[in-house]
Amino acid sequence: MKNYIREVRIQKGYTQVALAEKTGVSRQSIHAIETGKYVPTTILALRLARVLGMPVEALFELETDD
Amino acid sequence: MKPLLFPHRFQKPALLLTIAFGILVVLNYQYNFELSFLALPAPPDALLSNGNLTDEVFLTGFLLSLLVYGFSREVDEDEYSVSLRFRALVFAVLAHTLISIALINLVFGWAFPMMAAYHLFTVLILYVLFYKTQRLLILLRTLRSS
Repeated sequence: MKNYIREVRIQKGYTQVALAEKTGVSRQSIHAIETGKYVPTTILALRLARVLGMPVEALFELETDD
Repeated sequence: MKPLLFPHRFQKPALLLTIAFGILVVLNYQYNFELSFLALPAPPDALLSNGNLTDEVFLTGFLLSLLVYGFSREVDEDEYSVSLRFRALVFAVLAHTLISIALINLVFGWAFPMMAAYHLFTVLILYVLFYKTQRLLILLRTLRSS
């Protein structure tokens, strides 16, 4: 699963800490998601999309082997 | 789904108790350290015991405090922490099984019960070590990335 959280976060002017606070998770979780080490649950993906003001499909993308 | 965990405030006291009981368990195993007030009044044979409850108390205390330390909520507990806990549990169970197989096949005689006695704690110790190390590494990576 590929994601564009980092690009969108920077574009919207959020730091990792700010995004973590707004979505109710730890900063480490945001880092792990951005670096592809962790795939969030549907609930967190939807929360990230709501905070970043983008549809989920614009933040996450399936890769060929998914 | 929220995981079943102990409250965060239990974490520090549990760590202190784990260290204290850990030292006492080693003293008991290696040097037969026993507390006289835990001696049983009845003759040992009648109770199928060594006549003193020190080892039972120390072992139970160590296992319980380690369990509470390993399974108490973090300040920033979230779904990622839960996934780390799961990974650590899988690692601990696999490692415990492999060590058990190695003990059964490679250790004989008087050494076996001694090693098996220490092996009682392997799952919890490996789980705690793996989980806490992972958390620390991720924290360091996150701090470095910023």
